[in-house]
Amino acid sequence: MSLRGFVRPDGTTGARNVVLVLPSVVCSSHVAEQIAGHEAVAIGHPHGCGQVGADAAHAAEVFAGVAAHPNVAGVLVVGLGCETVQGADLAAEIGARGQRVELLTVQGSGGSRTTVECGREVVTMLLAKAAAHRRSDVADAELVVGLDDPAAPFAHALRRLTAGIGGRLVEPEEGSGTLTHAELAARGAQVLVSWCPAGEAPRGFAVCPVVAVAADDDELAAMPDDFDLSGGASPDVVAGEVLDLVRSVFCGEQSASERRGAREFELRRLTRSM
Amino acid sequence: MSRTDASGTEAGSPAAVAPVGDDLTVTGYRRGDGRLGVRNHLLVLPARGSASLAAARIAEMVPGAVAVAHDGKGVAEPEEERISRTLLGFATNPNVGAVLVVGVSAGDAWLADALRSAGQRAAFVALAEHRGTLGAIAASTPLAEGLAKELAGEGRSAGELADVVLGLECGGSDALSGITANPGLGVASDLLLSCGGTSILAETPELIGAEEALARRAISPEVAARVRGVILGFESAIRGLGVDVRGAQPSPGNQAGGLTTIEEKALGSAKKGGRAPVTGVVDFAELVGTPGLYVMDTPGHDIEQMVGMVAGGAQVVAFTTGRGTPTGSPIAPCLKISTSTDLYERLAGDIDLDAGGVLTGAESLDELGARILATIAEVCRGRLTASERQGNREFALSRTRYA
Repeated sequence: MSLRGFVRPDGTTGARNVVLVLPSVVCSSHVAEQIAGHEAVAIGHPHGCGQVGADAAHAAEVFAGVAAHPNVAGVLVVGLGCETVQGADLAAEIGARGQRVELLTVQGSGGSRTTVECGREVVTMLLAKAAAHRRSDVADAELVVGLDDPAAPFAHALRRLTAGIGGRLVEPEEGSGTLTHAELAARGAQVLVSWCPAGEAPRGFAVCPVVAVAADDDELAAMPDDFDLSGGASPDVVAGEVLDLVRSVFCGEQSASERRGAREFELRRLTRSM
Repeated sequence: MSRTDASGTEAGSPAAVAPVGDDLTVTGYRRGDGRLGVRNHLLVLPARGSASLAAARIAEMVPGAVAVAHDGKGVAEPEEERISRTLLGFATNPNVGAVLVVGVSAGDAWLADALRSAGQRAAFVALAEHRGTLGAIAASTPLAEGLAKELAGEGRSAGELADVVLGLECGGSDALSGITANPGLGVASDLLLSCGGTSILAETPELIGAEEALARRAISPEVAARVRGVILGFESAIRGLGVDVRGAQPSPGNQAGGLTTIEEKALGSAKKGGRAPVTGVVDFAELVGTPGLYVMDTPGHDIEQMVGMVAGGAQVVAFTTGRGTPTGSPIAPCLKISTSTDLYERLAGDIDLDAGGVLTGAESLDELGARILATIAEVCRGRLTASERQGNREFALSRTRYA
């Protein structure tokens, strides 16, 4: 059985066809959200300035990785103008990775209101170009699944099953804890699998559907609308259910995160803000 | 013996005298602890990051409600004390009339309980009690509407400048920051203090290089030692990360704006604090005490700093900018002051006041300071700032340790 996805010019395959409005800094996040409206996706985040050294480089790398992701059809970078992670540098890096990218800065566009006006025109253009893309048949081997917690009881079985169909499971290195959804996406995962400890609610992600697995049947029963399935059964059974759902979601079925409109973006910070 | 600061002017009581003629009255909402709110917000506060979506949606549907989004991890935070101090301080700011805490399960109710113990009106809703995010939104919207309606029905009463805690901030500085807007704001701060009010000077990394000038203005040797300790401590903490602050700052935008070194930036930045004595030094998000000028230990990150000052009690923020930035606080009016008329005209919708007249001679620093203070009073009476009109409600948690 094959999958249906959006084949990008560089040969990678997307499970979604998102137009992304990416602020390079917290200061332009509100403008980015106003530009995106309901049709495009904006990542609101508190980063991009007051960061130094490896921490600033890591933020810029994750932003570029998420923006150049195959689930993304086009990007508008919205900078402020004086930030550490410069919008112009970020847009250049995204373009160098083969992504369609446009750039606006608030300081260079006459302030918030005019930036929103210009940005809406750009997004309308990007949405029109994205709408021309169609899904086509792609091989199972194109599937890259991201798992946020290698301690999930079904992790080993999911690794085995995904490899069995020729796909790839991206996950944190053993013993290194969890990876944020942004980092998993930056490593190419088109669909994310989230394993939630008891008492915690699952989160969505900006440009990828998240298949959320509850710790057990009780957790699922408490928040059935936010979880996709329970992790309470045997690891092999859970992994099989997860992979089946991941395949359906890849091809267009909405995950719970998408149904509730959860488009979070969490960046792992390496050092404190300056 | 009289002491002098770096600019050679005498330290001690503010030289400026509150001008007569300007309307400097203040009105607001008197809280149980005696503090005055200049806004009366319903704050929808997620107890942890995974409840942020529900909080945002609830606030969107309820006129008068504001939400914050954050990436907090509840009680599992490595810096749990700093994070809860921030959330509690922010949600008990007198500008907040009531709080709806949104948690995941009943275990998150501690935040609402803590707010009530601090005298704040607080309600609680848990995702797990309503089948998840969408159910919690539907179930709590009528509750939020009821609270918002109650707050909207409350009238303002008389206050005074002595009630005001002013957060001093600069962001996107340029070579004019230390010449026009910052010293002008310093005059306004001195005037406010002479009326019995309080100011907070923060952004520790942007004070590196100005530590001696500030320490000499401390009211006691103990406060002077804390001023030096906080500023040099930040510098050494950053150096411990393998980064030379004095090389990494100023930011690209500061450099494009004509600033060459962090010391130059710092001496300009510290001018926001005027010439008044330094009354005390407080930790990030720590509530300021008796009236006076405080130094708060915050990052220079514009939003983390603003959150820290507002959590520390600031009801209003005055924010100077040379490059231009639209940011604001969800609960405190933020008054933007441009360093030049050129910027004011280019980013008109984002800026409230222009300090550029100082450069052309159209206005003296004393006149500018008086105008800033009169505008702060007006904002405290209800005038909306540019960031409030545009719905800028940025929020960020400040952490010092990362894995």
